[in-house]
Amino acid sequence: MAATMPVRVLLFARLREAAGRREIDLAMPPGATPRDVWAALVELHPAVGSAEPPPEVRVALDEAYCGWSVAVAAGSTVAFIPPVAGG
Amino acid sequence: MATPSARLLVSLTDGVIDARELEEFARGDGDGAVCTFTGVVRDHNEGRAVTRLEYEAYPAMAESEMRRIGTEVLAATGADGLAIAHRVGSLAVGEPSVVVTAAAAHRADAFAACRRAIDELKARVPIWKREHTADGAVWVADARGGHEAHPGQAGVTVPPSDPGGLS
Repeated sequence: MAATMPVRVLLFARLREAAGRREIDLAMPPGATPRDVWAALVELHPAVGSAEPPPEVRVALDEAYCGWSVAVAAGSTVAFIPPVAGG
Repeated sequence: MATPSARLLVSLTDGVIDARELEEFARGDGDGAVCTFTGVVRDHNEGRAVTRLEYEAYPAMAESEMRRIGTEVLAATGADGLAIAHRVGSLAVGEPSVVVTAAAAHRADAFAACRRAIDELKARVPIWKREHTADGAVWVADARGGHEAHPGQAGVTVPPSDPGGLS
């Protein structure tokens, strides 16, 4: 059985409401990308969205915006950022 | 170009923002211009009457992104000091949600830094607002949309009705 790595997912605003939770801990295969993490998230919480991340949602890795295809390290925090509305 | 000792303060708070304190932080004795923008909850949005706004943040990233923006703005303008404060929680009409204050020797740099900082904040900082009306509450999505403003891109497009930085 392949080893997995822990990844913490953070959700906000409408995504948080859809999942009913702000934090979700996942066990992801090594080399997983944010896109893979999103797919795993919607498998557990289908109300969040479909398997492909919607274009208006951005992703952050350890508190900085990142691309959807970067490598996520064990113990990282992946946050899915719906359209922001500060100010 | 900002001096090596440019002053930067960013703050995410659940209390009332003290604009005077931010101005005192930003201003140095070499600064003849202090430009402050205050974002305030207004009573309408897209034809709906708004009673209050609830702000939610990703706190650690909101602060680090505000800090990144502040550093970029100070490097790109002649401002010597910059303070950015955003409030979270439930705010009534008339309450300030965000204050950006920039200090520079002369007003052109102070206006430019203040403008750029609030524009970048609105495009990038992970803060959301839920708008309460008589009919319920909705999450507000900025009209420009997340996919139009790319993370890290400076110089967010200004809507044509805008007077161009002088308010």
